[in-house]
Amino acid sequence: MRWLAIHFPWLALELHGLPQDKPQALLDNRQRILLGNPVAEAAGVKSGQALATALALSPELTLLETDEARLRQSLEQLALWAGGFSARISVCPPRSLLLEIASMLHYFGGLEALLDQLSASLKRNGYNARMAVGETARGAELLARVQSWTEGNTERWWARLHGLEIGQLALPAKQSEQLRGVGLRTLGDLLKLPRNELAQRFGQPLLRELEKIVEPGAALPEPFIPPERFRQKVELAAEIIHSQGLLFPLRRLLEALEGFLHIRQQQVSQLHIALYQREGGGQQLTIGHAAGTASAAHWLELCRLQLEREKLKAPVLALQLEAEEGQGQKAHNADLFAPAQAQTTPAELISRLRSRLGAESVQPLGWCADHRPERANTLLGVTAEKTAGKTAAGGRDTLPVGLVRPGWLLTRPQRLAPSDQRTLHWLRGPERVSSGWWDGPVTRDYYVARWPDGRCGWVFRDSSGGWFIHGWFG
Amino acid sequence: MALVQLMEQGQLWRGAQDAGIQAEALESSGYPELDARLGGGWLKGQLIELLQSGEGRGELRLLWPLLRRAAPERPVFWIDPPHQPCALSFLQADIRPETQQLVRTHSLKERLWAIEQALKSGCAPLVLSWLGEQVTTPALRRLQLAAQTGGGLGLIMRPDSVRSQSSPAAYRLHLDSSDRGAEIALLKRRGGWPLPAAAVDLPAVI
Repeated sequence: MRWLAIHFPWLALELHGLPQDKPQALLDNRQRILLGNPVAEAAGVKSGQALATALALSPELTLLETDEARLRQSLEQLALWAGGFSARISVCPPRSLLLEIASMLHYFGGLEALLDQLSASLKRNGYNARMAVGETARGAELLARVQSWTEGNTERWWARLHGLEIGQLALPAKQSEQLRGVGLRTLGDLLKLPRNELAQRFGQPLLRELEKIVEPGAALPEPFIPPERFRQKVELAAEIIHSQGLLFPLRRLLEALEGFLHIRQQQVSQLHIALYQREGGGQQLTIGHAAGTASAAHWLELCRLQLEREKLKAPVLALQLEAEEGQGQKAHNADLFAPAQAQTTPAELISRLRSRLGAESVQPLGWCADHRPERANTLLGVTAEKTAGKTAAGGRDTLPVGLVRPGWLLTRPQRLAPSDQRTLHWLRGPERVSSGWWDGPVTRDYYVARWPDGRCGWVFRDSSGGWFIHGWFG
Repeated sequence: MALVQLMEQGQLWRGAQDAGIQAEALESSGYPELDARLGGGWLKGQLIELLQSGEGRGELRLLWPLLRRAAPERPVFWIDPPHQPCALSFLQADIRPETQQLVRTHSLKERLWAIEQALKSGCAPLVLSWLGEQVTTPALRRLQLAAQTGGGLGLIMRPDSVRSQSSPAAYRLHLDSSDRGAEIALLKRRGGWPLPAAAVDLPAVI
């Protein structure tokens, strides 16, 4: 078993991302029905029907149009998504993908497990698909167009392949007609005839086509080469007014991103989402992950948190997801003895908090060499974080000795009432701090004092003689 | 309902004679006299409520031994402290400032959410947070459950005006200070009766 074909019969409808429980149909440019989704078909809508007939059968019918370019674009998006499951993918327009799976079966733990994961992922993203495995790529592809085939048995597969009708071989219409004219019904019938006679009568192209179907080693399909950078756009069939409504189309893009990164063994730490809005407006969102990840589930969670805070300025017509350049993935194997408790890494937790509370809301503590206490105490910003270890390590060598600093620094020094001043018990001081003539000069005498209730504080007298509390010894 | 059933569900516990707690489930407070009164240390995965009036009574020095154990891959989260923690004082106490993650939120709702996320994640051994009087018991119970899920210690600092309110936290402490130093009363603890105030030997200010 080498190939898996995934055929998307309703791709042209599903790419619009509308809920599939309502009747939908695709119109061609002559206002005839091209394709109806299962709900519409159940109501009697058929391809080739006139628009009026279809609407009479199913008054709620949503009519959609899809051009070739869009179909191709969403098929390529699906090819990116498939990167999460196989390293060799081919795009077979208009509606199929081919995945080489022999090498992946071991990783996923067998064919059944692989197919389960594929179907679950497709279902999450709102796609209906038929999957067929096959010994030859073309054979699998043709079979998937007709029915699902997930049996591992080779003999039965060949028997089924030979049973394909001439009309199901995707040959030129004229040739199918000719073949049927001489009384051939199935692929099996065709293969029973001597090859050279077939070539004489129907030409070399037919022979080549047959070879592709039945020869496992013949003409492999061209592999899909993903673009250098991930930038994907989706047009929305219906305008989205609430930010939470963006999650469904985002999920598709994020899963495509996951496949894209998986194939390159990369992860990203920042995503840019551009929202295209009515009347030419636009909104930009940037979402970050502290350590970088490829996981669509993680990114979706972060997007959800960020979108909760975001208000849409106008209805959204389209959205584009762009990933920053990926970094190499840290080798992480699913660990058999992973500690049961740590389901989340600190980086994930920090990203989650930042997504909801804002980028500056979580910062590690840091310090720099400055005599003014309020300047010495800093927060390591989001960007400085990566160098945090170094700064702090370097800082420890130059750690001032003999200085007393309180655990709490007041954000702004508080004036000390003269009545309080008299009750204080002075423990230590003064320590003269005089610095910063270049930006915000400070001249202060610091004392450590105990309050009558036992609390210890850090107070100073400034150059004008005013007394202030600047910290507490917590 | 039989007593055994209640005990199995954890709604009823035995007093001090129960030595069923494993040593690895305990986190030493770093102060032997306090550990002895706690029955060996803090039980992990629990909420601790620390009540005091105003900062400056030794609440940070009480935590120093715990903070020293923090590593970059298991940082300590500070959620909405009332003042800025001073990095220099941490360095002097041999605590790495960069392992202290400071979180700022904009509302009580966000604060409770952040505390719950940090506790639940299981990657933070210690979550420090500050809550006022207006927190409801169900909200605290959620935090206690989150701490149990994550297995870390959740420390909540609150004003001592809430002393008369009941609380689902596993430990309740009252920290007071006088000329002689800091005193801790155990208002509620696992596996024993409340204990009256007793001195803890915190490091001196100077």
